[in-house]
Amino acid sequence: MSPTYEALSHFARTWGLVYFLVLFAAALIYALWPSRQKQFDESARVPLRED
Amino acid sequence: MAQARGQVKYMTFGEGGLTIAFSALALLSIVVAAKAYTPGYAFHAYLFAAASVAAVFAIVNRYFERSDKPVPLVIDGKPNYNMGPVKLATVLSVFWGIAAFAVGLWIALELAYPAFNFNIPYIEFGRMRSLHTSAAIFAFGGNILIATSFYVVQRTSRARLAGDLAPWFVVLGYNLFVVIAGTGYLLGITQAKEYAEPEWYADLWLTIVWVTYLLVYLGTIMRRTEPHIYVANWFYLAFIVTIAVLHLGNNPAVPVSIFSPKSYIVWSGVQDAMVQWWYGHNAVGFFLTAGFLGMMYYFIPKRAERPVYSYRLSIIHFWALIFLYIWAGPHHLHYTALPDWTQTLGMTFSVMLWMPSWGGMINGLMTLSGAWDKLRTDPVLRMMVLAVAFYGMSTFEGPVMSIKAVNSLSHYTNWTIGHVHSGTLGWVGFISFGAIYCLVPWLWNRPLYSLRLVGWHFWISTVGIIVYIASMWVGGILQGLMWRAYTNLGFLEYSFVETVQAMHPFYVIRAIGGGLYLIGALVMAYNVWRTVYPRERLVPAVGLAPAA
Repeated sequence: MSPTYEALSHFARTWGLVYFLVLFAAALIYALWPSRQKQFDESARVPLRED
Repeated sequence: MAQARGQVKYMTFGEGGLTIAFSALALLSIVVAAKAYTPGYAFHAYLFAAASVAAVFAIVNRYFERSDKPVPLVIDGKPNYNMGPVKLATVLSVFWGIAAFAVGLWIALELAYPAFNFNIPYIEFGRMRSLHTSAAIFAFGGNILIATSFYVVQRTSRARLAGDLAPWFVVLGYNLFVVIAGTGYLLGITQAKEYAEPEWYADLWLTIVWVTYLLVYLGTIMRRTEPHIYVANWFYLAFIVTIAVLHLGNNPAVPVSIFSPKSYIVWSGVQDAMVQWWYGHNAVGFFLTAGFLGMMYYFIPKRAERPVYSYRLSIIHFWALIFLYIWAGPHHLHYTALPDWTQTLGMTFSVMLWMPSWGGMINGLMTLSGAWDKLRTDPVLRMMVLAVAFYGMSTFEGPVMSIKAVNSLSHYTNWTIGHVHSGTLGWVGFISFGAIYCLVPWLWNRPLYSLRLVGWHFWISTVGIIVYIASMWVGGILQGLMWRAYTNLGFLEYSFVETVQAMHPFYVIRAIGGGLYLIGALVMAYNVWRTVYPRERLVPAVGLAPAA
């Protein structure tokens, strides 16, 4: 019982942390990439467009 | 006859399939009702049977009424939006809102004056309290979330809602769940898990409805003509997906029998408590926050006629909120059998939540930059901005209360009740009212009956919230301090009943605050009613009559 718990919690603590940090870093890079400014400015106006 | 012209009208796969499925459910329900262990469960089985029969009639009737061609997705180059289910869910949310606030006022009076339960078991505090929370969160909040999400996803995707019967099934099926849940509490059918009281059969039904909701939402996004998926849809999608995960995680229960409402959860002891509050806190995080943030990101820019302040911030807001919220649950279990490190983890993540919460608040408020003058003239916008301010305030208070030292004072006291209501009445309520005031004129395509009445609603309810939360803050801290007061000999200074007595004036003041909030909501209901059924339409008819 306890070796399984130890192994699982060790795996979750180390690789889970790495996984989430990488994922979040990817989101940050996506959001802050300079060339996307124009695209985001357009996206911010999506609710204002009428059809 | 259609056949005479050589055109045969067929039932669609969905119509045929649902007719068969509902007929089978009706039969099953009648069998279950006949053999049910308890009268309450038999009542619910009959409700399911009645709803199934009604559904079969509605589907068959609709089949005979409709044309033999499928509904066009586009008319004259414009998307043919499906707003029927949105209208129904909007009206239902107004109805359930008033029901929830009225029940809230009633139980507030029961706490101040216990005689208000009239010794009737069905309306005693324990049963009515869960009716109040579920009616407010799931019935009022859930319906406005379904309404606005179906509206926003269509408008920002520029596409008709996916599915033919599916959107109606989502709205009607969800409201059947609400009725089953609510009547169950009054009859004493409950799992006794906060925000997860409905028993196994209601949970199964909700699972089917919720998966359909997800599929309708995804289907609409997939047929979008707008290349970018607007950020409000991310929040709505996170809300739908996470609630599905939470619901499944917290409700794996084994029923005693198919003929019994009672079930046993597979989790045991402290694991059950942890799963419950992982669920419970994320019900707050994803139902009451993410979903309503979706509302904020659509209705505030639209009403202010300004673009989102920073689209980048909205993306970071989204991911940070999603990453952090899911870990905050253990702060509900400070100083319990839960391992210490888990408690500390919950506390740490709760404190970190400050950042995305305030990032979102700033983004919502700053969307008004260049349009601040509209706050003076538009009470609907004022309402939504106050909602965002309350969002900022309660997401500041929450992390403070999650700190162990503060929690040792605040936990189990009415401070918690005050905190919850600054979030629900202030943030969730006001952003929803703002959305309703926007939606009703847009959906029925006529001007709002009275902006002045919106102003009245705003002020009456704002005063109500302030009276409510102030009384609960003062009363809660008083309660906490009395519980921990010792004499110089080391005995507890106050007996429990003395602390109850001390709360009486605060309970009375709270009931007044809740009463004001209810009055505000009634003003809104009148305004909505008059907008949908305007009186003016009758005036020209009467005026023209003599001329004709």
